[in-house]
Amino acid sequence: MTGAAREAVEARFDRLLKEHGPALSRLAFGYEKVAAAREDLMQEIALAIWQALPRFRGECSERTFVFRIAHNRGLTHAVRRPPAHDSLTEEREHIDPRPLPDEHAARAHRRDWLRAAIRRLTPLYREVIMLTLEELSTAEIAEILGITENNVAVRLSRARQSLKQALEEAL
Amino acid sequence: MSVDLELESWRREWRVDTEALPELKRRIRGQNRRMIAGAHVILVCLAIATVLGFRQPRSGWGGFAAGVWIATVLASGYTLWVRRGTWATPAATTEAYVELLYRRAVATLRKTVVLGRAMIAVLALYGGWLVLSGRHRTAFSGLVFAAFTVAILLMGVLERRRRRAMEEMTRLVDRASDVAEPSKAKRMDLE
Repeated sequence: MTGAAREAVEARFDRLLKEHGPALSRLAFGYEKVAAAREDLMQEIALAIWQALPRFRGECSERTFVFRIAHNRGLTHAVRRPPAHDSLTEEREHIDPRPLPDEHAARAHRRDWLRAAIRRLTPLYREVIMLTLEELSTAEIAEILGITENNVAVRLSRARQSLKQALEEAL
Repeated sequence: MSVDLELESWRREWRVDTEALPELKRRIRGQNRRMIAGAHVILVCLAIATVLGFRQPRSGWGGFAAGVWIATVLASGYTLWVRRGTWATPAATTEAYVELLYRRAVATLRKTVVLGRAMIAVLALYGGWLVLSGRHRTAFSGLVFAAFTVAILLMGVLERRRRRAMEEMTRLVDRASDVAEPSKAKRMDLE
């Protein structure tokens, strides 16, 4: 790669991370609870985007491109490092049990519960629910996953059922 | 148009206080440097073995250098053969990626099992040769034997880890097939 081409890729990479960084950070939470391992996962996602960027010719939107890579890396991570346990009772020990002083803390608490419940889902339900929470359309999710929109709807419906059940069990 | 209140509430909770990204570019550069350094270490080891083999061909180093080169060529050739068809996905989708991950997991496990068994066979042959030729009391042969034993033990640990990854992968493929077309990878033999 020439110097100019490298700079262009680097600028594009910076822009993608700036635009989608918060979403990528949330996705990493869906795959990994432990902070250090989550940082490793983020690094793997960023490295995969960096490596794939020179070959990206705009066959799909940048958002689809970034989310697809992130989920593929997340799946690899889930296979390599399956959670040692998936009990919400144990998750409860990691979530601050002190009384909640204000609405902000209460929201953070509910967010932690939601993340823990999402991590309990099977990876294939997890990805469809996380993409939905990131406001991707059914068509975009179908494009990322390589399944039909009907299949996305079926998977989402089952994922929502499982998530609701997990949240109810936790409360 | 009706609003999905449950989903909206989850979306709000999902987005509360998103953490900032760690400094990724610096870490990526570091990772790239480590990968390049790893490749250099292998090349330097091969070069040292070759130089020692040429300088002292009659000592154990000559055989050692030839062994290192033969093992490297055979292991690389076998790795390329076993990983055929697992380099890239036919389609840029997660479904295709799951299929590819499965194939890679099968290939990696096969490679680990075969190389582990091959190392045990080589160690047995080497040990037998040392005893028959009366060289089993030299420090050099002891060093090579010990290094081989450690490598075989590490391969055993690696094999167990890869079998666990394979089980997880099989579960993932099984789950994928509940709403999609039955996976081709699911029908592949493990061993």
